Amino acid sequence: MSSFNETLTLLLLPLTLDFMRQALWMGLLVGTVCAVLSCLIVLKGWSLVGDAASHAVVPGIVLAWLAGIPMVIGALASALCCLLGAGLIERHCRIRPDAVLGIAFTGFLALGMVLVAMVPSEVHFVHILLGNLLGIEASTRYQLIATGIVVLAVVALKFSDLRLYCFDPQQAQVVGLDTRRLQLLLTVLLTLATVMALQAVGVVLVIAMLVTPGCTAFLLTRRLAAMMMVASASTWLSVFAGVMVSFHVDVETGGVIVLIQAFLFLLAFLFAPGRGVLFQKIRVRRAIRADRVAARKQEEVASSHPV
Amino acid sequence: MSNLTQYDGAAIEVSRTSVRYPDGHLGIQEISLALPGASICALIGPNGSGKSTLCRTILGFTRPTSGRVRLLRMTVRQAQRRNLVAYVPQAEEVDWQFPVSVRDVVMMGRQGQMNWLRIPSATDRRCVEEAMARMEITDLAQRQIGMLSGGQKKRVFLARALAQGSRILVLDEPFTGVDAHTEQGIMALIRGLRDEGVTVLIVTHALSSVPQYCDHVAMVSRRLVAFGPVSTTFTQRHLAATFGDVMAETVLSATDTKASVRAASWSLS
Repeated sequence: MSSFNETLTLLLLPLTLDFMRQALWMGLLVGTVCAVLSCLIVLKGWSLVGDAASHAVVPGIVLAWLAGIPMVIGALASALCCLLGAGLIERHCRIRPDAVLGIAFTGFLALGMVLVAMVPSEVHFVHILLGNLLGIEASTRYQLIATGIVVLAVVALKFSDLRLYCFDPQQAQVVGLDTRRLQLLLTVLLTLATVMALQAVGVVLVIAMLVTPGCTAFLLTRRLAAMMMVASASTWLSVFAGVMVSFHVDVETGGVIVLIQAFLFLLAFLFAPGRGVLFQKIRVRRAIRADRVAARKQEEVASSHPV
Repeated sequence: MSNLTQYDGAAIEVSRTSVRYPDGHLGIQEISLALPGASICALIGPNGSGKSTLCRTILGFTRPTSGRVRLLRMTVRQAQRRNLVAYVPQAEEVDWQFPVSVRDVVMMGRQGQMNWLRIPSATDRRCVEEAMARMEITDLAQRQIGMLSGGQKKRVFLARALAQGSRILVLDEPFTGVDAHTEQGIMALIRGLRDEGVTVLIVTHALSSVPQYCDHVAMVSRRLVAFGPVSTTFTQRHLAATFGDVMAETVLSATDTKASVRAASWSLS
């Protein structure tokens, strides 16, 4: 019994450490913001836009550091330049939007990489590429907390309009809403979520934070609000597990978080009631069996009452 | 419907409107028509004739390259801000997997008239319940929209337009994928709305139903081929000019036989 207690104490050791607790709180905040946004992004079909935003923030972050302004502002400006620029190009040329977006965000990422190589390497821009929940600096932390609160508040206040815009932008326009403003709002929220996710998992894996929870929740729910809650819960689970695992086994936190998210999605994909594969298989089989029974009954009736 | 203010003149006025897409492709050319208020107008034309372009221009989804559209003597945007226009989209344009309930969707008709936090008022709730009752979907209110039959799906979006309480109603292909029974239900509803003073524009492929249901007809083939009251405009000559000779004959013979078959009484369920 005492050995069990010792194991438990050892397992929960990270929670007694200040910096680990902080990392966990940050992870939960970042995860919640990303989860809520991921629902809207998945439903709107904006996965690629999310990916683009996550790559396009890099030059902005580097330049913001050079200029000494808050990282979030630089990231936001840089991502908006990329997305709005891509939109502008797309309107004036016949290349498909996904291709235009691909060109734009890889261009921005390349610019970011050049900038990283050019500025002296005393800052850990590696954190941008790989993310590091355990090593967020105090100033960055305050920026992230403020950003997270703003994003969650705006989504809560504008929930209805954002839902209508994602579901049926034409109806939004017909009832007099400003769809262009809503599009810009969603883009800004998406970019802010991206900047937050960067800290946790890094540029390469941001898209996982912005897509996977939404998809998992989509398979499990029938209402947007419930979907956001389930997405958040799945992210909390993966952030918690990720932080714990990465403490005990020396692996990248971000990697573990995303891996667990993917695993949760797989579970939902297989076992979700209603939309899961297994459930659908069972439903089809049951329907076939019912048909067969009905056919047999009809045959019996036909044979017992010859015409 | 609410908003019982009277508007003089044409409800929908399209003047010399052309749409050319950025790739140079011509949508519509120099179309002018003035649709009187409290009437039902069918917008017909073959595939690619520009009838959906015209419809999209009237709804403000597509900007005209030249000319202008006035709705109740206002610009499209002004009319939309005042919630004077409602739109029923084609079933194919809707994301049926989206996690919203039937009541959520019908409530979206009230969205422009709610306060900034979008908390439905007593009026909003009443309009939604009335619209759902009128379309006989009240018992489906909690369903996710993907779990409905084809006819039920149509009725949800009609209910949304009803709940909005607009003066102009635009329906895009309301008869595709519905049985004759539901079609008659939809048409009776639309007639009822016209009698309440609503102007209805129907984009449709169902040519044979035009003479029974509509007051006016606009035939489009890039340009406006003909526009006017059905009795004088829905003719062999105009149909031939729009669709070609063979088509015109089939349509007219079909409407003759169909007219006698259609019964007056109907119900939705």
